[in-house]
Amino acid sequence: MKTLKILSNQNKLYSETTSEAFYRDEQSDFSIRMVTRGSEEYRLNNKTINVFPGYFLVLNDGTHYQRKIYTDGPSNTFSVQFSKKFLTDYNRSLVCDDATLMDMPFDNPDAAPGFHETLYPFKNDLMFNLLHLKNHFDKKVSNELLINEYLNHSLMLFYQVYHKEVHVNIERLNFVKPSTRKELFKRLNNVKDYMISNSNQAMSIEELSKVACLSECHLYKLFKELYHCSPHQYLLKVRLNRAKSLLNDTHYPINEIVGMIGFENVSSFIRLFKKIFTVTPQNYRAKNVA
Amino acid sequence: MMIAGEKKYQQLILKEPLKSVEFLVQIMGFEPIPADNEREIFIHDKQGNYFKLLLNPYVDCPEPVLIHSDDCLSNYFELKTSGVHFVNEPQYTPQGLMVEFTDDWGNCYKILEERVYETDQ
Repeated sequence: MKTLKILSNQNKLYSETTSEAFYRDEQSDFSIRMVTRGSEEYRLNNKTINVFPGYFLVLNDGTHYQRKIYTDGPSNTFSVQFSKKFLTDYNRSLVCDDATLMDMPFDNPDAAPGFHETLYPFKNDLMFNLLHLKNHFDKKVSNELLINEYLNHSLMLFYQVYHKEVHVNIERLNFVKPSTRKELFKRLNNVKDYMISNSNQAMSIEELSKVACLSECHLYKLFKELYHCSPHQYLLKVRLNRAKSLLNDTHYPINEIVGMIGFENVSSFIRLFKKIFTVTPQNYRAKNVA
Repeated sequence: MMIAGEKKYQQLILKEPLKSVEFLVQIMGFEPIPADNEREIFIHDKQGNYFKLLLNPYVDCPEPVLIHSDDCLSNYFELKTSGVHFVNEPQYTPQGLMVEFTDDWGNCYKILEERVYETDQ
């Protein structure tokens, strides 16, 4: 089932529930894309990104991409798409001073701002607001002013997430030249996306070093500098968070979940889950389902 | 927090409890509770929090009444559309999303959508 709402300002809301879909050549406005159940695969700029619950993907205005869903059960996806005018206007209100905004209120730059097209953590205020918006959308609420209230807040919160995940993180890389920092950040981001997208598969540092186009030692050192943990520790976190979402949203038995998230051993998974979250997977599920 | 019979309730000091009941019931969806004593006014919100309304006409703006919400932005939008005067825009606080408004009789209210935030591991 697909539902699309186009607002009078050309912002769009789109949701889809399906276990099988393939869209070969799509082009997007600037959009925030999330999955509340299941997964969705995107192919863009020569990389493949799988979106799972707990993350959202950002696509820039004009990006061409391929999108597919092939999952055992139905996947629920939701995206908010901001028109170029809405986005550039919002961006302008942040970067221009009040005098400029008053002197040239209708000046709209030709190019929309661009963001790193990568996975971001879907949590906290942005998550709460977008889930409320999805809830209203599912209930067919048609009040555009209310929807735009959510979109304004969501865009503001996205800028905050972006600042934290990109601008602050880039500064962590200890290089003098900004262009070197940016390039390395991009490569490390590709590794992060690769790990999240393929977290259910075994992967080696050698494989990751090819994704990053960096030597293994260099990747290891820089990854630690940026994310304060080794690639292996990062992957464990991703897998455990994925386990949490599967425990919350599905009825799969724990031994199946262990296989789905890329762990080989049930008892080591249970031990690690308890160590990190101070609760066993069984109790976590019982507590959250209750 | 006081206990009346089986229920725990908060005392709310208001300038105009009677008019506030009208506001809380009609706009905020509260429900009045019949009381044994006609001079006492009890009310509860949608989340099942109980309040006893007390009169104090001499304070400028009494302690704000805290109203818990499932969706603060939606409440903010609905109330603003119905002409309620908001003191500020919704604010993101460590407790969650919060916004303040006043009624026509000088009573102050805070709508709070409590949110449990994930910290970076």
